[in-house]
Amino acid sequence: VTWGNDRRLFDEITGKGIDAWAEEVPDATNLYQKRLAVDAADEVLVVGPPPVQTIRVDYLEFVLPVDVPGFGGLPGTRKILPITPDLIDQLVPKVGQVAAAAAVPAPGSGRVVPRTPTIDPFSKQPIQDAQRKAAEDAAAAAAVAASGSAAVQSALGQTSATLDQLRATLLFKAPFLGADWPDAINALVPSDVLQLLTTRLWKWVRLPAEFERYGRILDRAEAKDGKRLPAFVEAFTFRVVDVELTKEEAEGLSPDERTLLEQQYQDVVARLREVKKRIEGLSLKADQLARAVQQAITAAERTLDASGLTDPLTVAALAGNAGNPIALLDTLAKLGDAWASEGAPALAPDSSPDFWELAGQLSERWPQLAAALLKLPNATDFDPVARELGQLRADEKALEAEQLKIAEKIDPANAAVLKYAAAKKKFEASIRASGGASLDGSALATMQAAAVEAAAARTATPRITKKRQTVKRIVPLPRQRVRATIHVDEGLIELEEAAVWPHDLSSCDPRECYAVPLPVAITFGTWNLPEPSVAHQAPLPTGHVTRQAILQTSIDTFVASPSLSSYARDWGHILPAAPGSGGPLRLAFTRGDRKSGKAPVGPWPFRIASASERLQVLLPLRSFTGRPDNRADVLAVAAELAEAAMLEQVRESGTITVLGPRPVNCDGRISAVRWASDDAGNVDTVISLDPDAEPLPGLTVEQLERDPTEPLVFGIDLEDLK
Amino acid sequence: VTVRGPTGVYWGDLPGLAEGFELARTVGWEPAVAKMRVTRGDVLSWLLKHDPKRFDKLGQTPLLPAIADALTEAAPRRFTPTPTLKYRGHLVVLEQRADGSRLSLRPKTDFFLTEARVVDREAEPALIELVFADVRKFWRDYGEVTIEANVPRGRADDGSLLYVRRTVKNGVTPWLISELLRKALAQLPGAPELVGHVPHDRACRELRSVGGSALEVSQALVEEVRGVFNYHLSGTCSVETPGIGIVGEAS
Repeated sequence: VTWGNDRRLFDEITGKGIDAWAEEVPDATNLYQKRLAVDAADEVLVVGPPPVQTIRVDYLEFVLPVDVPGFGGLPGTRKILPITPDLIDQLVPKVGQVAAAAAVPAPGSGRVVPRTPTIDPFSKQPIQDAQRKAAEDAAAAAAVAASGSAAVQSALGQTSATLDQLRATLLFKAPFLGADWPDAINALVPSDVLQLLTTRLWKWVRLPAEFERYGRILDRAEAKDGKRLPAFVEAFTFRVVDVELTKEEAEGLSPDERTLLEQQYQDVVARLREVKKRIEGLSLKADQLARAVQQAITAAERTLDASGLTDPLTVAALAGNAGNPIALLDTLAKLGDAWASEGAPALAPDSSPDFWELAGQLSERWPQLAAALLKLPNATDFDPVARELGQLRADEKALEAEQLKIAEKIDPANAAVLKYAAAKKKFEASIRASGGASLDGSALATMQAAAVEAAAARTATPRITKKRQTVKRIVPLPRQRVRATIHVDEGLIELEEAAVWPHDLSSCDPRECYAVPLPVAITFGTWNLPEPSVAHQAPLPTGHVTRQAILQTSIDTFVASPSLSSYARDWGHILPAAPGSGGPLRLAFTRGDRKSGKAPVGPWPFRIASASERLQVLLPLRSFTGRPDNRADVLAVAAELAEAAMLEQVRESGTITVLGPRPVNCDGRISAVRWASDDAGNVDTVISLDPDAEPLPGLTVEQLERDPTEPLVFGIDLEDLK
Repeated sequence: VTVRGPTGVYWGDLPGLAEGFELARTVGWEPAVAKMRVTRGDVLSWLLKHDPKRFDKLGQTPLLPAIADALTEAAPRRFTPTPTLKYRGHLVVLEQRADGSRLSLRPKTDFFLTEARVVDREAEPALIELVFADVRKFWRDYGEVTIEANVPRGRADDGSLLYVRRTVKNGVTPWLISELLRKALAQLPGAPELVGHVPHDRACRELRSVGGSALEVSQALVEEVRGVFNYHLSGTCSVETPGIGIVGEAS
């Protein structure tokens, strides 16, 4: 790019002057020359960025970030607390308190009751022996892994908690889902703690300590359209959805229910039959007795008329028991027993005429007498026949009602017939009562209505109703990608939703459930740099995948439950074979080996270090793409760079002397111009062409003194004055 | 070889000798430096003409070192924009060729007397070497820039930067690097006009300067585009792309 000036040119490549400078560039003094570069390398080492490898780390550690405000103008800090049973213990009330609080039903939020320990909280099936054993082992190990199993046990309020109870406790102590906890719980938890738990619990995770060597969470090695894809997080979540059901059902009974009711019906009918039979027999007996007694009374009345005895007490006194009510009652009891056991025929008229006289009178009057003596309100209470008959009639009535009730359920048509029969019986009874003299209008109307109903019931078909109703259902989602924010500097991952399932999937309201934390996995790119100072970590206990007791418990439950184990199919880490194997890319070339990148080089090869993306080795997660990595491409780029460094490069550099004072400006090629007198007093123009060496192809030379991301600030920085 | 004629060298109206003349200019911010030899007689008459007071102090027949000291003492150490100084002037190099044509070098910029020294006491005629520098020698100490440019205030939905309105051109367009450079250069002594810039000009990043050095600001802005600053013979300037240029004479 030239500006403004019309220049007369000189071809410095050929050394010949053009135009005005023709023949004025002295051949002998043309110092312009091509100079051989001296830095042509025999051995080249290309150093690139460390390979980016995609890995997956499962069972991330749940943490609770707690922001501690600063004091006195100091900035606040953030404490990262691993979630342990102890922490939960500190933050939420102890089990006993919760249980006591939960026993009080909170308005609008349902009642919280801990589950029976022997019921699997997921499948709701009793835990089988093998599963139970596995769960026991897990819980035992979990208790050990937790910071002090004694604390957990003491939280239970007993020193020898069974493992099942312990396990249930761990689930139970996981706080509830939902923003509005039961009021009884709210009262026990400080509001700031509650706020912390509802907004952050089960939403923040980080890499477990043993994977911290993977360092920063980078974009994955997989690329699309030349851009590396971001890391992603997989977690279990759930949704509460509205389901609209159309329920079509016959109004009736399930077969089981029907069978049961029919059995009851037959039973009632049999009992009713028995009762009616007994009533019939007893009525007959009572009739016979009544007839016999009537005869006796008739006879006795004649005697009594003659003797003038009318007062029962006097009659009793005649029996030799005057003034002694107890003896009289005894006599009466014996007399009653005799009636009951032997019946009227046993009281043959061939007995003592006096007795019969007495009996005749008593049969008419003794109930009143006995009632008077015992101060009973109902005279029939002392009449065994009447009492039994009354009882039987009451039984009959109850059984009939029961029969009708069952019949209405199992056979409405039959029930209507029965109702009609009852109404008819009542109507006939009313006619009998009046001796055919009058009709009971209401009974007749009832009977007619029952008749119509029975006829209708006989022809009716079973009714079917359709119900539409909206119900809430908890839908547990399998593990899938979820939205999450990765806080790279803090090494924390914040999920948008809690990575939990409600413990009771059949519940309609997650607020009535406890949160069961489930494993979270992250797939990300890492440099896998060797880390010399890896903190020694004790190996995980056998059968454990995480050091978090709560998470391990739910994982064990998941794996042990047949209905849930399919969800656990894709769990686990995908890690490089050798931890810390990812040093920077180092590819060596020599003049003899320009392609392999593994040429043997001496201790001081010519080094080309570049952070270029073209030298970035990307190792994708094979299971995702099945694509080979880009190592071949990187090798080609590195070989190209090495080739350029091994070339014997020519640098255009030197001076041109032009006779006479010439107006020559500096520019991008001319670094200096010098006018100087020669010995003869003539001023000549010396032009210096000394450009910097070209950078290697494909590389840019960064030589910025200033941080390119910072503002340019000069003079007084007002930011400092604020 | 062309037969060349007499060569004349002048600093303003002070004639110098062709022998021992040298002028060197480089790209960048360092001043061009010239050396010119003058005879004692020429210098004395020049002093009488332009600075009689100083000559009066020296006496009728001053010694060479006294003249050199007086000149060095008179060399301007401060820049004043108005050309009232006697110790600044244009350099002119003339060469008469055998064919009658003349070659000349006439930089349009002032050269400031910087130093005077005795070349050789024994030589006859007695010679004094004057050293000049162009206006760039004052750039380190003069020129102040106060500006806030392209101060960001967040990003728009499409990811583009949003700026504080008062810090961008017309409240809308962010300042280009060349525009800011032009402002900074205008504050330098001589106020060189920017007549050329690298093709990859772009919006500058945030720049804040309160009483900052115009030279430092200019240097940073040239560095932003990886350019080479070039001060022309004509007093204008440009930013060049390294490695790109044409060898030849300026018209």
